[in-house]
Amino acid sequence: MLFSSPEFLFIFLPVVLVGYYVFFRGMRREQNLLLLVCSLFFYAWGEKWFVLVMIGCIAMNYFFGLWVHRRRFQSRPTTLPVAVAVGCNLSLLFVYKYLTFTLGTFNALGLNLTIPVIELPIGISFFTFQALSYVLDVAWGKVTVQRSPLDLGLYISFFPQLIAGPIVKYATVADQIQNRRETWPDFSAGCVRFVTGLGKKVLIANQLALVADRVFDLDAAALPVQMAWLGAICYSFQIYYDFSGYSDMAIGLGRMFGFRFLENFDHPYAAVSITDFWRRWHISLSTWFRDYLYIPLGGNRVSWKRHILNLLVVWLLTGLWHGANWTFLVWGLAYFVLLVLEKYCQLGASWPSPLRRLFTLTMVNFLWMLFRADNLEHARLFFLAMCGMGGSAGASLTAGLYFRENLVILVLAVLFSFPLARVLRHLIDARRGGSGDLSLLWDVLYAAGITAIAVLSVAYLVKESYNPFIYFRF
Amino acid sequence: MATRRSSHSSPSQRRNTLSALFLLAGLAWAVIFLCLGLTPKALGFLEAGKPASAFPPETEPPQRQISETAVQSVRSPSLSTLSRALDTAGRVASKAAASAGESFDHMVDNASPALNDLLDRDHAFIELYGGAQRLMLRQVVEDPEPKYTVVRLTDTMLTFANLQPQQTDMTVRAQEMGMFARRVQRRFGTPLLYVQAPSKLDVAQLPNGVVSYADAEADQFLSLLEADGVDTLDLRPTFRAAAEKDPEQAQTYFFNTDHHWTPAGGFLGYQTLCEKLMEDYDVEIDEELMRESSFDKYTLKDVFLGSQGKRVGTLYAGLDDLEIWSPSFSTDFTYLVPLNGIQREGPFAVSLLLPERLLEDDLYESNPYAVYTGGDYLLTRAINRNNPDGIRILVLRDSYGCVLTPFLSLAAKEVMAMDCRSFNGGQSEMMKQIQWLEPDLIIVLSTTSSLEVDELYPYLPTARANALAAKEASEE
Repeated sequence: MLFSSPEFLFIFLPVVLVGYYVFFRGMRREQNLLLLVCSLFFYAWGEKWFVLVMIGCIAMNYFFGLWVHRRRFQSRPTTLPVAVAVGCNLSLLFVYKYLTFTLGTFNALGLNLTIPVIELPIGISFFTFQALSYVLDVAWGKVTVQRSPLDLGLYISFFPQLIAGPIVKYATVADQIQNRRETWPDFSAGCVRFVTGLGKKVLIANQLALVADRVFDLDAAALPVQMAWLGAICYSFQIYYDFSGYSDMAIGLGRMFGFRFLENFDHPYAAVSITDFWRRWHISLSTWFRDYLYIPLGGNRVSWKRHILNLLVVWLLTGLWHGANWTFLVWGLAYFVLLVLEKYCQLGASWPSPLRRLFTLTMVNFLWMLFRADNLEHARLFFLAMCGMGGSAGASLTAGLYFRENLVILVLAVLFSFPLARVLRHLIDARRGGSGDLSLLWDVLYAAGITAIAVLSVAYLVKESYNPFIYFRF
Repeated sequence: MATRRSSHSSPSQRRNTLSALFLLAGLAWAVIFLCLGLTPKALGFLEAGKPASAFPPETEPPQRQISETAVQSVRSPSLSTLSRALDTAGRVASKAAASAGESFDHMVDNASPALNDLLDRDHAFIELYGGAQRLMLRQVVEDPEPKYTVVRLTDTMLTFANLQPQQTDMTVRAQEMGMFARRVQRRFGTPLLYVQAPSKLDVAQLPNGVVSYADAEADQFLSLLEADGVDTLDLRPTFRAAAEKDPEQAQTYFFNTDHHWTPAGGFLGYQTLCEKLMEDYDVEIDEELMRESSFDKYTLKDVFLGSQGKRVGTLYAGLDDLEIWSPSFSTDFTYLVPLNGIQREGPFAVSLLLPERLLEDDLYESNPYAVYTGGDYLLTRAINRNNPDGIRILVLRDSYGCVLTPFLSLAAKEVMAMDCRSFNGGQSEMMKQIQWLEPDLIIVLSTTSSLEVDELYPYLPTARANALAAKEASEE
């Protein structure tokens, strides 16, 4: 089930809210049980049988947690249970996500292996990483073991962050599972955050996706340069507004139920460098790799050669985490190279700020193109088209059409990728109570705007499946 | 839910509270609105898990006593056995046997569309969507179904256009049409005339970047037919000439919110067709029947939201007027829709026009255009009692025939019109129909974009095979 679907917005969410705040008000155990059952239903709605995989993952990690805790309690090394837990979780991920890719790669090298058809359970990368986070946090003594399998199940399967993150580390929410406090300020802020994310996803990302999908579906060898750039830029904004919108919805939903998740995005396209970009993009993934891989490998407190090796491992795995395709691997490697150049060659350090920003955005844009491409050859042809060295040289009327038709959306996408709303809000809040206090007007307009975003988003969702009876359909 | 005292002082608290209250109120309204929609009439979301059980309008019980002629038509084996209704009934029976697991999957698949339908049952969201597109200055409103993307041609005129069109090769269709024409000529001595109806693109331009191959396909089709010896009439030059002479007037030949020609456009087509019939088929037609001044016109203001308009709402599309044309001279017709049990008799305005089609108030549900001949039926017969010695014409038509055939009936003894989308037989079944109907002339009428629609040509083997394959695929 998607957040941006009518069954979620008008059936699932109201039912869960009413159950949580009306029937089980003040009953934490029942509230958690309700959230767990609803989360499993939420997952089963789209992944009827894969919900069993997730339940298996919960059960497996529940026992790993107990095993690790027992070892710690006995003052024995936890290496074995941690190794088994990491092995089992990564094996689960490997089978569903990487096995066919690996076999296909072997076959390309000359073997003749049978490649099974394996469907990918949605969100498996997120919930296995969350489960690993739990076992590792217990092993490293950051948290105590979770004795309730239901509460652990809620942590792993909680519907707001189940499908597309953010990846919530167990240490972040361990205490909140039992001791969170639901407040009206949190609930109302959660509502606003959810609608903001819904608007980002439906009103901006989905619209730009139409252009991006169409351009990437074209023959890259015959792509005019304007069309290639338009497609790449639209995809860059699509992925940002889609993913950050989903994170906003997840964070907002969490707050509505009293959970505080950490931020996942911080205006990444306002970054001044690649390093800065990765401090602002998919923060929960970056910090996961930092805390559970980069730092255990030694981080930067090692020799420069070892540091570069650590970065290489982290970025190769970051690339692979996004998908089983060579494009993701090369994408991760490209970021590794750029980050090493920034750290060790001071790339861009002496450039003026606008130039650094432009360089960062251009690199990010090229690499999103690689991320979106079907394969490396597609990416190569697309890259040549963007550089004007391939594709069609003539002006593209179609690119002009797409640009004209999406100009308003693109302008909004550019504006809101910078912290414009935040600056505006601070300016008005600073004058609150003083002369020229416009805060009441601003607050009413703000509420009306949020409501308008919600209603308009629903209108767009309705249109997605709107199929009026065409009497004369030829 | 507890409230933190300290939070009251937060600058964002008031606006968040206001926003949340608005949102919760909206959510409560939406839930109540959805629940109100869960009536036996519209089970909506719950209904999504069940197979469709409604029969198409064609199977509704006859509303009138069927005449002897009508009964004869109903008993015609090919018509009764090949009707779409029986086909639908078969599908309903097979769906009823679906397992519970399939029902769950069906519910999951259809929950969103069903809920959206329920939410938008008064079309407010589509109006809002269209209004937003207008505010964003969009000239192209994309649709989940690419072929139904709405494109604005002028300030007011809309059309459908696929943004990723592919040109269809018309060679096979033209060859098979030629073979069909020769077979009909050889067996019954009946000539076949292919009439190419115009489209809006003959009077207005697509915006830069939007391409349509419909005219190119029609050009190819016509040239191949002519080379094959099939008689043709291309109405497009007439409309293009009218557009060159008076662009504004020419735009009145088509609806703004719909892709069809208006009665004025249909009449221009009728005039051109009459000239062809007089010149090449020795049909005698009184000049009075072809004069615009021989008709009374009544304009119904803002009554029609056409196919494009329904996709984007009135805030984007506006509304169309509908002109009712009725001869000012004396007429006397019998109009039959055999399979639907419709029989009407009397002057043109009473028999060939169906004013009851104007009674539906809901712009999204109504189709005032169907005031002409009632809409699309498998077979209609308009018998002109004032012209007992005239020609009998069978029109194998698309929806452009709705407006054209009533006018054509004035110049003929009888006009029989078949909307072949409802005809499930092949060429041999069609030959039986032709033998039974005994026309003096067969006219195939298609607009440019109809040429690639296989369902319209079930009497051509390849088109029929393609249509059946597409139908099977969609059912799967």
